[in-house]
Amino acid sequence: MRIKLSILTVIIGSVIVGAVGWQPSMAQEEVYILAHEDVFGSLRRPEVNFSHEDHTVSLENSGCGVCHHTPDDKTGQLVYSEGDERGCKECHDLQKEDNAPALREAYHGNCTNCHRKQIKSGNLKSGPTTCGGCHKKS
Amino acid sequence: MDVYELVRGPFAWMALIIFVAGSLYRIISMLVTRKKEPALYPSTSFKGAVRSILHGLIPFGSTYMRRQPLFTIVTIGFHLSVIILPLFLLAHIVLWYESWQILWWSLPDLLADLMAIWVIMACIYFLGRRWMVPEVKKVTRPGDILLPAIILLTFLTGFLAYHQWGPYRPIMILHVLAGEILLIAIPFSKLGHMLFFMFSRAYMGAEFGKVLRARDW
Repeated sequence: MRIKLSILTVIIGSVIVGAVGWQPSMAQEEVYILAHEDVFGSLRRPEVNFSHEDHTVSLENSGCGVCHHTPDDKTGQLVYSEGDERGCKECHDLQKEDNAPALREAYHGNCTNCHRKQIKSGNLKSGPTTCGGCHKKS
Repeated sequence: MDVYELVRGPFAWMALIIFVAGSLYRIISMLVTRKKEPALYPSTSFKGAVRSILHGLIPFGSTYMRRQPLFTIVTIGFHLSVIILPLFLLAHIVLWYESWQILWWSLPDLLADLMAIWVIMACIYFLGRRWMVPEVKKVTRPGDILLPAIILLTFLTGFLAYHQWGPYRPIMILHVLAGEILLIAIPFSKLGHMLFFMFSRAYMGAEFGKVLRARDW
């Protein structure tokens, strides 16, 4: 009986681990604090609490490449390569470099512009578009 | 429609277009009227005109400034801030970049804060002066109260929004709206001295310099 139970436990356990293994989002933080003092130095606006979870849900159809994009070696086009998801500051620095906008502009370009587009297309429950909507003073 | 997006988008465009078109209209029609009415044609004295403009611009460069030092200091800080602050504030620069991909230097936040406080205090001082100084009160019309009050509102809401004091979104919306009202008011109110001060100073300077052989500062 004990042997049967432990076998069952192992089986159920492997199924759970396997299922979890297939869900890449489970391995990620739910909320990231975006501050990047290593790039910006002392911050001029409050840090941003970014919910990765909310965005994986709302960008399900658009794909992860909206944020996690890297230039293709041959074409230079921004593409998404699964398993090679990088943070913004790996390419975007304090100043604009070649085709990569500066980090601040990259964030605002992706976050605010996307929220604004959402609002324009009728989704009034999209994310913030004001400064203090994301940069909240605690 | 999202109210913030409405005031930040279509309303901002409307205000900007009215400001630019209105200013051009006012300046062009002034130049055309000058040609039509010979009685208003100014004496042409380039030297007198330039001298008057410079004495009007340089702090304490004229008698009317030296006679009231407090007012002069308040008003110089006010005028510098009211022009420089909106153009070089980080928050505004970020918005212009989002809209037009233009980017320039921004003021340090502490300096921007001090300038905003200066403008707010100056507006209270101007309004108080309109209220309490008899010779100023006598020539005060509703617009002279309304315009400093809207400037006060614009800079106060901007200051509060930066510090995120009070209800953020309504304050932000009010800030943008008040700024747009000011922009529209520039060509059509006393704020028009922003466009016309050079012309009126030049006119007076030329008249006084050439005809009366006197200083107008």
